[in-house]
Amino acid sequence: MGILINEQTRILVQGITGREASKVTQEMLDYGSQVVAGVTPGKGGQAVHGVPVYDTLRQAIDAHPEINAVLTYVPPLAVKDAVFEALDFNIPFINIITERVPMLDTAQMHAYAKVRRTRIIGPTSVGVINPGARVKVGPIGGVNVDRVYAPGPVGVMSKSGGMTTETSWIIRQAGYGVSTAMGIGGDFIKGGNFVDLIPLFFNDPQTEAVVIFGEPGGGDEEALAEYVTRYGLQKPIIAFVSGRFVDRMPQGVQFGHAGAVVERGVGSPARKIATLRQAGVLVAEVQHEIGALLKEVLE
Amino acid sequence: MRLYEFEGKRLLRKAGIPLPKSHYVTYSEMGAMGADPQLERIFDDLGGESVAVKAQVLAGKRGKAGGIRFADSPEKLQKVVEAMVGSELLGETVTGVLIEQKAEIDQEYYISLTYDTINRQPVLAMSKEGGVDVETLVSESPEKMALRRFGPITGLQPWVARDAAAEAGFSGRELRQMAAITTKLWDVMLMADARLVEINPLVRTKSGKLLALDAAVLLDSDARMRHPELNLPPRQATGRAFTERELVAQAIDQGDYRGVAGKYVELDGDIAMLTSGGGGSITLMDAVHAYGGNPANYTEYGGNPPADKVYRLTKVVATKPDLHGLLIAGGIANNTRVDVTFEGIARALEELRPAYPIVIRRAGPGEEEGLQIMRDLAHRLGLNMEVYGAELPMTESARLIVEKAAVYREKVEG
Repeated sequence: MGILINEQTRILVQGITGREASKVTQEMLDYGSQVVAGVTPGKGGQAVHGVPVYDTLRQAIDAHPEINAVLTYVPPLAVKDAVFEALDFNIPFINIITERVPMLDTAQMHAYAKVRRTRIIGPTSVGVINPGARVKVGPIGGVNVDRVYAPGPVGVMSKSGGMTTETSWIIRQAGYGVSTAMGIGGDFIKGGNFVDLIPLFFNDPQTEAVVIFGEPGGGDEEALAEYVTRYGLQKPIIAFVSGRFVDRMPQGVQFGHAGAVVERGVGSPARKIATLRQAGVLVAEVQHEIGALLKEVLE
Repeated sequence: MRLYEFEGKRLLRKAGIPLPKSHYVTYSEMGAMGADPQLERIFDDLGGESVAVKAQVLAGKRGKAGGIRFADSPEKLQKVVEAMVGSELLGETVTGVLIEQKAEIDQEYYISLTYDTINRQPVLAMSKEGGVDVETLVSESPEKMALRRFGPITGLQPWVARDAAAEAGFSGRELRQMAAITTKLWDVMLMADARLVEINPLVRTKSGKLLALDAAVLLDSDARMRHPELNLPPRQATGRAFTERELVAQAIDQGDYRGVAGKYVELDGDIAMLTSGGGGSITLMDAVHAYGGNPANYTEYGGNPPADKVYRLTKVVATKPDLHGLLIAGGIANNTRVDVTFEGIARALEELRPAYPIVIRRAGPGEEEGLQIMRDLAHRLGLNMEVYGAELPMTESARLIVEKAAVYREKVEG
């Protein structure tokens, strides 16, 4: 099982002819993902690693009606247009890898996706992987995917792309695999928040515990805490929230991700940790303690 | 990106929001002016009675720190401006002042627009009680702040602004005026891709006029590319001037867009951090703190930078005086070549030959070759270095360096 993507996932890559997108297309194909088409306006008729390229989404869907997932790899200021195109064609799942998408654009994409009943993950996502189904969308796992990702009972959501893999590695070292792992991105506003995705993990028969990697900024962790307080902690959740040192820094310094800026006292790591603990979430003090906490809840 | 008050007010003025008349005077102008007749002209132009001189700094709460002063004659104005321009305020050098017609304040109101990150919508906040203590107001009497979230595609419709104004307690002509200013403020959000625009206070003068007395604007850095017309100079956001080392580091990324290796924030600890990836670097900072260590800096390199960039960053990171350890660590890289980046690090360490302990933990493309480069280097130069790959959890490396640094500190300090 797992969530969001599975054996039936048929992927279209927007911006497939770009350097990074083309490299990731190869990696996805090597892993076993079904990448069936790509779109780059003006480059229709070409092929990238054997995947046909179209000028428009309409042409791609006419030729491959089975497309049910879109990976967005276009430049930041072109993302909104590309995603609106996918939304207008009722693609049920959109994963945006592009970083530095303007906040207004993301807010508009989210608003429109709600109307079209589509799920967006990202921007600034590192992708989604379901090792049991042997499908991945996006660069998640890089070239040596199997070292880190094996099928198992743990769901993973991370605001940091790099730490998605590091977190899954800690889980692997503790002796477990993952049901689905994903980078949700660290932007203040994004398509998939922890709270949007946790019900999917709660309903997934394969998932027995969920690990989240949080970051300073935004109200995402607090919203998750509120959700499990209201609807119950149906499966154990283990969290690590990075950035406690940011509280000691001169104000306004920007670290790492656009989302990792603490503004106006909202979203400070200390508050996130306290709120999560109050809701019954197990919070690791240091990242690799996730492994020991996981053993506690799964044994 | 935070804007100075005078920059924010330019955007407000362009959108048609009423403001007091003002002039911006910079440090360079002052240097050339000496005892300047221009200030006299400015004083006359602003009504010739009383003006406010406002230090242009990015930090908030400057009024309490002496950043707003008044003058009722050209001579006084000259004195105040001379004292203020070039002075230090809240950790910043005042490079310019805004000289503004002094408003006769009757009431102070509040309006802001920003994004609600949980609902993922823009949100309007309006209150009849503006001024410096608005944060206290929100925590103690939240009912006095009218909040309205609205769709980012439909935008702020005028009725929503009127609705908020009515709830905030406005009526009559003032309700219509507040709503009009609010919809213009939404135009500013769109026109400049702002993440926050705040007018606090928006004042009613004794003659009954509404004026935006201050402007706090935070622009979306991710949208800067579509606003070349704003033409804003770069600025620091740390609340202090950049250090020598930070400036040297920043030069690393200039003119070379392959990867990032120029982000460096100098801190006052003794463990140098040469960390990679945004999330990984923050997590390692936390881990060093959690184990009782004190980082000498923050940095993050990533996006597969060439060896030379990482070489230069290493020289900045590893040469800070009084270091007791160096942590070279990161997660399992998806993209950054470990062999390439470590070649740059090794070249710098070969030149520096540090005596302090070094702990390395890294994995990713080219890891075998990369880690071997480091092992060979340690062997050849007899460095106090431990090298680990993915077998060591990333944050364990923080514990190791904190322990080793403590031992080394003991040794050198006796």
